[in-house]
Amino acid sequence: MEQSINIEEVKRKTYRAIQQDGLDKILLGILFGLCSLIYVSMVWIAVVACSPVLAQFAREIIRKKLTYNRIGYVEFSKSLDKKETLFTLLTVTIFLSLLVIVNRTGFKALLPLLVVIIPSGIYFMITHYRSRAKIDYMITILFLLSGVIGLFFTLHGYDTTTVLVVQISGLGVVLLTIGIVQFIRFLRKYPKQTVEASNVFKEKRK
Amino acid sequence: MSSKKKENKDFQPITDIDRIIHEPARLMILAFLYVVERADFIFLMRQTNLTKGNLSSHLSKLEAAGYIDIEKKFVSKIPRTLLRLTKRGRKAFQIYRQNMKNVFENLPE
Repeated sequence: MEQSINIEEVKRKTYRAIQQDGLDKILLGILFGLCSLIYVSMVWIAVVACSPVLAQFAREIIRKKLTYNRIGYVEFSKSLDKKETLFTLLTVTIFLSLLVIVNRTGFKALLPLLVVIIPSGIYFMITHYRSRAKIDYMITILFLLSGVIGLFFTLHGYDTTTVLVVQISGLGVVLLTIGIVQFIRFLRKYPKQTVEASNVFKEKRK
Repeated sequence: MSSKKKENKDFQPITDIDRIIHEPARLMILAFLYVVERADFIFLMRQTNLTKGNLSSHLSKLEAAGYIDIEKKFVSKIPRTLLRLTKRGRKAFQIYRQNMKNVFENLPE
């Protein structure tokens, strides 16, 4: 019986359920697209700086309108547990070490790898400890792969800025596509709930 | 100690099992509420695959036992029934897990 009540698996199942709408991927894709604009023009920096907060707002509004009335509302604990905190610290340490190396040596070819360290680290942490969904593992690999491919091109003399723009916008497009596909599948799978629970409770209590 | 009393003591972990939690549907509900801060009725219905009537009946029993807290509110004019595990419910679930563990650990191969 103990084996069948695998609390960790229930936790993952619950997390995967709310992630089915693909909204996080859509917004992350848009965020990546905006980030790539910084390399085109610095005017975009203010938009990019505000975008994570705006994305959170947008996600909540869209979820209120489309997700919660289909699959229901769920709230998770916002604090990170020990393992998640350690992994985040490790990711930040790797990122800062690489940043110091790039700054000290002026070796800008490492930049494509540097820009994907934080997103891939955090994405892996969330995937591994919260969802364990195959698609999310694949996206983590895609992040790192884009960094390695970017590094390959910069080492072969391609312009670093161009490589970064292509890499980040490419990642954005992939994430956006995956997110939209998941979102459409979600809308088809879960029709809108019309009757609310409170009616059922009222009837029962009468 | 009489043999009957000893026998009863041997079965203590089984008799200690909380019958309110032991019902599979309620166990499922509590397991879901154990891992989240709170969830609404529709979410639980989707996850547990229980019908509306069935779920509300189990929720009423859990509420009566003081294991869950049911809060009804309106979000953008839409009613939402939010469910949360109480401290008592969390403790009871942990004790239930421990008791079940004890029952099966003590069984011979």
